[in-house]
Amino acid sequence: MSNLLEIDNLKVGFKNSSSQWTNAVDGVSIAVRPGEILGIVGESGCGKSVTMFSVLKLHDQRNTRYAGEIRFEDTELLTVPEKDMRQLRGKDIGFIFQNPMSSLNPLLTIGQQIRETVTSHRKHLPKKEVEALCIKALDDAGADDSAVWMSKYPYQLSGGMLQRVVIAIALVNEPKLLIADEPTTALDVTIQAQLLKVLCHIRDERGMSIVLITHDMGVVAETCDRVAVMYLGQIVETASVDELFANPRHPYTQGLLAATPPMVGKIPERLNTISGSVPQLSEVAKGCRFASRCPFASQECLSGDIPMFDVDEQHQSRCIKFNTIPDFRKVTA
Amino acid sequence: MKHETEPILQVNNLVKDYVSRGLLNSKSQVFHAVNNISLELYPGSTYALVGESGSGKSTTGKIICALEKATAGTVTLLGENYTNDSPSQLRKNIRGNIQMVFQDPFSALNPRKTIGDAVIEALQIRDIGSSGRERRNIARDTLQRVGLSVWHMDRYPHQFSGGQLQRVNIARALAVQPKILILDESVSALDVSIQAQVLNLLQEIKEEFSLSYLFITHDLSVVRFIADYVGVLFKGQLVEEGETKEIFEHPENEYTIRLLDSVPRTDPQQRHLLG
Repeated sequence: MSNLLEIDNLKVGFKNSSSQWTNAVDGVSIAVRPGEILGIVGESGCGKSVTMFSVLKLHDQRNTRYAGEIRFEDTELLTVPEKDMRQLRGKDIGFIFQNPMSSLNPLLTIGQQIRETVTSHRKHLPKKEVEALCIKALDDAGADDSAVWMSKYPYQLSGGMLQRVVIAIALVNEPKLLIADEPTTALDVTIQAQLLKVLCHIRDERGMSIVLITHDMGVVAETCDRVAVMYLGQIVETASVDELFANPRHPYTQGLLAATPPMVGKIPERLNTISGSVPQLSEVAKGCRFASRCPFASQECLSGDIPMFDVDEQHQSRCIKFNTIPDFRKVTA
Repeated sequence: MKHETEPILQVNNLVKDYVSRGLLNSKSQVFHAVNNISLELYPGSTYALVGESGSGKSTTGKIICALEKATAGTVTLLGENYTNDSPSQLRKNIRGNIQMVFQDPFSALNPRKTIGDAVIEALQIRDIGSSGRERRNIARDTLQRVGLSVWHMDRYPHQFSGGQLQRVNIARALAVQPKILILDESVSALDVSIQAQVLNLLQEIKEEFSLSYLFITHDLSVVRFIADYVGVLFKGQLVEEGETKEIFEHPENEYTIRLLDSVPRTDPQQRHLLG
């Protein structure tokens, strides 16, 4: 089965005020398979959002430069004209942002905003059909009274309800790929549980693919099929979710897992944490980008760029010691 | 809950109402943000107030810290009721003993003051240290204790990361030798590896400085790690409280059960959210 989305050696550079370029994403390669939920995890500034924003080219193009390839089905997205890009946004690829309040126009009703998404891609659809599509999308997103919601303004709904609206807008055109950037981070945990259920249910029903950007290892464990862990603009490990949690083969992944307070099992005296903090991109030296914080780092880690190694066919790690490092969680416990 | 010591802090039947009056209609609406909450904090322990947005947990914290006035009910520190104290009485008896650490580490600091001066200012206000030199030394020692270096003292907040700034805020609270720290979502804005470092730090200094914590948070995995006791707030009411282990293993209240069921498990083998 061929991949729905293929990102190949993507580099995204931004220009700062003194006209210097920095690569916020530096050589990311990842594929999204049909029907899967791919989790992209990492801490703030690791490039997870920048990578997925690039798929829709949502950055200010004057201060951004792309290199590499992004293929969606048969289309090469980085070279496609803006006119065609607009056909993809909101049609074949849906997007959900973190803050529902700022994703919606406060001056338009919910109904106007969902209808707009339909009619801008299907201009000649009869009004009645548009209306029916909108109501169905809201129903699917878990709205309890879709017809009433349609006439409301954003300020009249709660954060959880608004995020359902945003999901409805993203799904109304039945996209093949949904990119969800921290879709539940701003919401209460009971609402988060409901929305994750909605997303997974729709995936099962329609067989679309979801890329879920999150910093929450719990959300990953509960929902994803596969995971890519990012650190400082690079993917450092990819594996199936079961494999990644059972057998992490990159010290950063191990550190992330160890630093998350567990909801099950024994409560540790101390959390095993990664020392230091994420360095500035401009301070990145040659070799492994995690070396300055890694308990297993040695001279050879600094000698040159580290490629991805195959732990097995479905599991890759950007660590030259992937085979020999002990499980950080057990070592420092 | 059985205790050998007296509680250090006692909250009795606390009520906070917010009254809103419309522009045109004179009929006022009363919102019970905090509705008859009672709780006790024991020396050396951590009490976590959990609940979702709007449950009244922050309001409770602010009233305990005397940043808000209660509508009814009392708060006592070591048996002394300070609910109706004047600002000068509060400064004398309460401010130095109860310190607060907020969620956003950046907005809690003055951007035009170096972090050394931020800590020194707290010492000046509380009249700790006899000279500028002594205050600077106390500030230095406290900042070093929370993991910062001497050369950090002359830097400004924008030169630090969020995790470092939260350490500064903890140091500033710690420097005035409080008995109680109120931590209002103090680790919620931090990345998980940094959050772990700060949680470990909080565990260490609790014993070292004989502190008691009131931990206000929505994150139940953090509560499970750090708290001895939990109170679950729902719409301004304390619906369940008890020892952390007991609440997590045998929740009785319907809302507590729903809340705990909604928390993602950190192990794919134990998935439960999607049913």
